[in-house]
Amino acid sequence: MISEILSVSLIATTISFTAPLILAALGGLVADKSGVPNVAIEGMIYLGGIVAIIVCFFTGDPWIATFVTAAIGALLSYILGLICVKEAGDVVIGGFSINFICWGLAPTLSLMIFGSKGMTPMVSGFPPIRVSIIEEVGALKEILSQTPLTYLTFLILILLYILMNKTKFGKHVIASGLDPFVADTQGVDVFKVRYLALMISGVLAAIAGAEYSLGIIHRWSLGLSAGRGFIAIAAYLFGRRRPLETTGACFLFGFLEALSIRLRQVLGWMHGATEITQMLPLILTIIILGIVGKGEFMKFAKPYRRE
Amino acid sequence: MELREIFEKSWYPLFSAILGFVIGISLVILLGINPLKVMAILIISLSSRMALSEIAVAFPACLFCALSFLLTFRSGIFNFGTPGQYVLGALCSTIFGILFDYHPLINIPLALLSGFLGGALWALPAAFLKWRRNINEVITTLLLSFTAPIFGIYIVKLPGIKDPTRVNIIASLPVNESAKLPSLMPGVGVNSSLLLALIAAILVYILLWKTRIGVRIRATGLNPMAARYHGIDTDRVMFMTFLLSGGLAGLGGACYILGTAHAYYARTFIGLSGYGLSGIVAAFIGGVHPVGSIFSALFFSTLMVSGLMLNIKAKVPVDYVVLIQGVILAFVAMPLLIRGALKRLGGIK
Repeated sequence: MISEILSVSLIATTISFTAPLILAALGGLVADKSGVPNVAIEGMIYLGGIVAIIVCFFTGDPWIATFVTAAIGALLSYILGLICVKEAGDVVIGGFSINFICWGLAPTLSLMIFGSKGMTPMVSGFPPIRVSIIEEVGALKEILSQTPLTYLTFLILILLYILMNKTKFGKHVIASGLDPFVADTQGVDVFKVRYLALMISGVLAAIAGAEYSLGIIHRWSLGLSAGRGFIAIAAYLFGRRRPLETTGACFLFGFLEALSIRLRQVLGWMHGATEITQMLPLILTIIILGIVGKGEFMKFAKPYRRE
Repeated sequence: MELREIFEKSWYPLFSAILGFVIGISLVILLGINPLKVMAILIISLSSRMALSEIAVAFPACLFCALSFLLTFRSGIFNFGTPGQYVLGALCSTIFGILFDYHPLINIPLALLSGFLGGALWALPAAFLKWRRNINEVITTLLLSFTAPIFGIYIVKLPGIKDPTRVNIIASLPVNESAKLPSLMPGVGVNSSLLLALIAAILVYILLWKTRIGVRIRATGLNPMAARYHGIDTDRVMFMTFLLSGGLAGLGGACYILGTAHAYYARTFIGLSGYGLSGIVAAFIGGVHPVGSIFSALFFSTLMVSGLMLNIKAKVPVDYVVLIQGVILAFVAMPLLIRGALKRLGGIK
């Protein structure tokens, strides 16, 4: 049975489930570093998922769908910025207002457009890339046959690393997160930096939603995000707010997700296997947080207001 | 004195509630529906007898969740696990109601207690991790909230609890007659959970403002450092408040099952939707105060029922209500904006 679970497709599934988590978590990390944690990642994934499906359903082009989704993510995080940066609102309450809006809007859109609240029709979405050179090597072929968005994710990962470590903007983000008052007096436009950081996070979270809906399940359903936005936040908290560790944490959580899907296929005959395997990643995330997390780094930053 | 203070402070939440409601309703334009028509439907349908009894049913659950959220908020914790604790309360009281059949005088309190314990149990991991490891409770409570409905489906599917006669939907057996809450007005659906919720609100008020424990809770929320210097074990206070809060949300679920639904229908407990979320917003709009929450819970249960009415009459999905709540919450998060607007309107500082 163990050999049934630990197969090549487990690695492939791990990668395809890790990619959106990396996007959401690293986006959240950028926002968090700038001093405004984005608690609305969950909602943005949720709404991004359905927007991608709607656009793809009507235009038939997954790339247009991805761009529109990214724009929606930017818009949502701009609103979040209005609340949490401009008006210096509480990040948790402000983030949750966006979450609520997304939780309300997504089923509404699904019902108004497709006539079903719980699920949209299937959309072809992104076909997996076929790597022709290594056609013969079975295992590698399966692992590498990911959607273009997954490949894009790893490209974004590198770009994000350069942005945060090699550019002025990255330093400004960290400065305005460490001490907004000092950063402000040193000529860093804290508000603009925070807006931009939030928008990076929003765009990436929305693309993560598109990755789930267009790349993995090819439709939107009520349980599309099912806490994955918060798993992403847990990932960067677990990764001690460092990019490399966060990526590692994403691989761990992505693996848990893939494992639970694999277990569902293997243990399908058992009573309640679906439910147990659905709960597994969530519960394990809590346990992992409990084991490794401690201390002050779990705190969310306070909003900054110019006196 | 105390009451005056609430109403003075309630200008901000009230204003943000009205503003959020109007903007939320206006956003139906985006869905191609005339907002004026929606308002007209709301006013007409809400005056019907059926709507009133629905509100009376929704109100206790909403109030319990609001009380649950505000209690932890007063001690400086965001308990976003309210939806999950609500589900667990409903689940545990259902199980008790199915398995046990004592005299109603014993059975009803025990069924409610099991709901309370269920809610507290679901708050326990988050509370423990907050206490021992200082883990951010927003993340843990939410992960638990997402787990709860799935857990509910798992339990309800078990033999002995699942109703074998219902093939199409996942539902539990109905609870025993002895566990059902007595009805206050037969035929309308108004049951004694209404009284229970009001009593709970008063008890929470007394706990927070008239007892020593309340002083400790509020001191912990206002300034944990100072509270610690005064010899208050803030971690323990947070832990106990967290459990109590979970229990209150669980009671809300128990009231819903024992008073209205009489069985656990898995489809009413999907995701985070439902009274748990409304309760969170209601707590904010009520000025994070038990007495204020009574009024705001009334408002939000009305809003939820109006969502049902809109769904029937104007084809606006029920979930649209969550969006309106989100807009209201957005204005709650911006007290400075509201204060500025009120100042410009004149008078109120």
